[in-house]
Amino acid sequence: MLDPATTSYIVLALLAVLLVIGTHIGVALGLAGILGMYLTIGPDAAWAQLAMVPFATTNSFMLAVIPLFILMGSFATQANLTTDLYRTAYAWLGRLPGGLAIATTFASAAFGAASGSTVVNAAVFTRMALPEMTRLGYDKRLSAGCIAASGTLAALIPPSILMVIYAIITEQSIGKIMLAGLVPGLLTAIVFMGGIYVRVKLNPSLAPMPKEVISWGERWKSLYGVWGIGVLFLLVIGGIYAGLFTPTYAGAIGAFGALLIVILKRRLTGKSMLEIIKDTGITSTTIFIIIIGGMLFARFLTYTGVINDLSAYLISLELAPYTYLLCFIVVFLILGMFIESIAIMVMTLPVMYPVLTGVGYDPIWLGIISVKLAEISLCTPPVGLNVYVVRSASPVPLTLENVFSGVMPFVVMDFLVLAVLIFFPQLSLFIPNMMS
Amino acid sequence: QAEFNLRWAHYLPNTPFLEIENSFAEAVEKRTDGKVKITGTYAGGLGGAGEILNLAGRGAVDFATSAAGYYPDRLPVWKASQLPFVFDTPKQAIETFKTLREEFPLFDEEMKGMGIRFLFQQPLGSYYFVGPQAGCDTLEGLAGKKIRAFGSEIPKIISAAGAVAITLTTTEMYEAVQRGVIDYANADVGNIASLKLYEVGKNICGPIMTFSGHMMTISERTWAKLPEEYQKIIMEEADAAQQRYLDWVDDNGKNAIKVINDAGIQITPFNADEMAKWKAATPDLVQAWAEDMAKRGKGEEANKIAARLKELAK
Amino acid sequence: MIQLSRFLEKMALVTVLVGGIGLMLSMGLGVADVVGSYFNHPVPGAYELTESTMVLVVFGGLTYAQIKRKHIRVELLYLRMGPRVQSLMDILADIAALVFFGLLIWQGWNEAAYSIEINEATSGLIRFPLYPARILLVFGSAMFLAQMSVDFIEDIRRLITGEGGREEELISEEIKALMEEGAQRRA
Ligand code: NA
Ligand code: NA
Repeated sequence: MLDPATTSYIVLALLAVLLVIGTHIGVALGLAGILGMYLTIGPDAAWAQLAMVPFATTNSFMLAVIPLFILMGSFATQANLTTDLYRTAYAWLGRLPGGLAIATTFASAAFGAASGSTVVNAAVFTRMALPEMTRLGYDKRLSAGCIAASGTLAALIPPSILMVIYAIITEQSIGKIMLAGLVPGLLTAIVFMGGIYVRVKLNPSLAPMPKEVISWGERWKSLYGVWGIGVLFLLVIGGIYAGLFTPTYAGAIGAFGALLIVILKRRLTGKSMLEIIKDTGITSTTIFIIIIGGMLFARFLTYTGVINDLSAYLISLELAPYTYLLCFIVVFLILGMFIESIAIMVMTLPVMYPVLTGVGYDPIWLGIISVKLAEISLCTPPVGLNVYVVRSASPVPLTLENVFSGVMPFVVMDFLVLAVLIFFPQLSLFIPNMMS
Repeated sequence: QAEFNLRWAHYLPNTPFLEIENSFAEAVEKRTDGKVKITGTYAGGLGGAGEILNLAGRGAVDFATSAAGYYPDRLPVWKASQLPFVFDTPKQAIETFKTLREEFPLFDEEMKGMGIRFLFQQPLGSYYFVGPQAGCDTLEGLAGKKIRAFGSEIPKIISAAGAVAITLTTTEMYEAVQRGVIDYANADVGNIASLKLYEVGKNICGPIMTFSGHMMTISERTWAKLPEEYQKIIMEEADAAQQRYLDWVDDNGKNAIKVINDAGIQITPFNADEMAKWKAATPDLVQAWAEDMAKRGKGEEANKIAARLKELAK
Repeated sequence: MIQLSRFLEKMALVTVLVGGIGLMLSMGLGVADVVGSYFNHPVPGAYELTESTMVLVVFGGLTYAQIKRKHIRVELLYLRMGPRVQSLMDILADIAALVFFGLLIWQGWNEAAYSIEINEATSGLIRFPLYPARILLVFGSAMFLAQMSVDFIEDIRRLITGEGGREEELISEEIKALMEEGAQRRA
């Protein structure tokens, strides 16, 4: 057997090559993980893990909320909830500098209350807002970047797939973490909107002003459009806190609620149902294949013990608590350049979580920090899931670089929010503390 | 310098709850002068509860710790060790199965079929009901109440009490009681203390039932590779750990009860007459197990085990 | 070849639809379980059926996602390459996927066969058989493998002809008009 260090180099090189030539990310991670286990532990381990992981990962009640949240998002879109939201946001914010981008961010944040998946958010608003912004002559980097970045808001604003995964790994309360994400999510949205305003104010050519004028009457009337999202939010979050169902059932209840709204609005046709089913199937399968590959890769890394050794070393140094936090952030972001967020959580948390809570950090707050780091990772090159989604869902021609360079200013703003969340833990914790 | 670097996969996070198992690994290392080194990976890092015994059997890990309940068709014989309403104390559950294992080769054969070997078993503390309302000490109080269940057997006894079984994981319980999704949590006394269930349910009744917890196993492939002297050390330390566990479970139970009492909560014992009525209303779970084994073509030996089990548990 | 790929597309559509219907079913079961529990009548088996359905959703959608080229990949370098290099990269990526899913099918099949042998089922009150889900995993992966083989041959053909990677979706007249309007506004 090869030693873990040599194997790690070989495996990382293979992973890099596979990624660069355009292999499916899940396949690249899975194949690299299997080769790694084959070389370090032996064929028995590699084959046994390959036999277990794909089935165990998909045949899971906890992870079933992922396709159900996606389904909920598809129904909400079909019910025109997103379009209505977007109209409302546009009516109120459209006359600001960069108004359409600001409205998109606002609408994406609000839709985050109904969608648990950053990927769903990014895909929905790429199809809906990108053509509008293109028509108005918006800089395509600004418009694509804003959609990719504000799509990640779905991870902090409950419900959220990433929070479910954090809660499962760390055995924390799903409900508490979801509540804790509300303020940080809104804060991020506000910072994004402010950032767009300032950038367009400084450089008006990024976003030409629309000619249409919106009357106050139309504005008030547009507010009617948000009832659907409001109802869904109350149903899902309210239902959990009223004790009507456990958070693991939030996906089924939310999807069903969204379906009822579609039927109520008389927008359910056979054709649209077919599209929703296809879309949900495709999005779920692409996400799960990455989770399966990421899990195999994570098992390989766990076998090598590199993260374990690293953290044992860090603990032995008896550093100040914030140094550990800094290490966690750096490790997360480096992995976040290459690996999908869910897999990073699976790899780092079993090791770093006990260390960080051991030095006194709050587990719920740590969940919010982890989700924030995951949001950043979703946008950083070379592997940035949300950027890919915008690129692949775009009806307007875009290159991956367009989106990556467009999203960078938002990543900078994300770091600003991260710093605020670190220095003011109460922003995350006061709501869950109030509720218990 | 280690001669054997062995990997141990555990399905639970590394908490003081795993003290005895960790001390087993340390003792093996120490007695082999570090020639056998055991590295633990906890919280399902190398595989979830339903994966790791398979992984050990196939040689992907060397030691594995999980419960028989996660392998209903791979370890059906061992499932008998997790039947409720059979034993009075955790100690009795462990000792009964120690005897059964010695008398009936079926237990070891079943593990061998999976490619693993039994080392020792964790005794779970007794189970109690925890909820905001009083009355969990009688059948009348339980009637129509929603009570947390798990696995295949617990729902049967809850239904027999006229209550409604709601399947929930351990981590979901606290919130479920707090928000009123269920009327009573159902947990072993150690978990009631560590999950702070007494915060959301001031009424605790029991003990209701007790049975064995998870098992420490070693991969047969690993076992075959080890020289006899190390095998001997591992078996001796496994027996010692089993013994320590029996002492530990009483202390752990007492400590947990102290934590609960210190929070100002007294445990209401389940009414003895009511318990007798409840057990009478419950189908014979040992018999049901033997019937299930008969379907698997092992009825004859299972009947013998069932008879002996009832005799030992008396 | 063309017949095979048409057949695959039909099958892929069927499995993605069956998965979607399964997902709706588990949504309905979840709602029924929540409502039923509220009135003291939880739905037995809701939990187990949902789990198996997820296997159907994921492995049923696999091939359709591939046909629509929706699986997520890095294209940073790919898009800058000439047509023949693109095809070469595609071929290598195809091989990687063929190897991975080939191994996955091999191991998945062993598990499925063993599951049938021991009549594997879930441990809840209702004993829900697990082998259908395990077979679905193998079946979905096998369909994906067949699709990847078709793609592999197509990519070799493209390497020979120098056509380059798969074409981007054509821009519709609508989008073209939209982009022109934007360009005018900017100017
Ligand atoms: Na969300
Ligand atoms: Na990234």
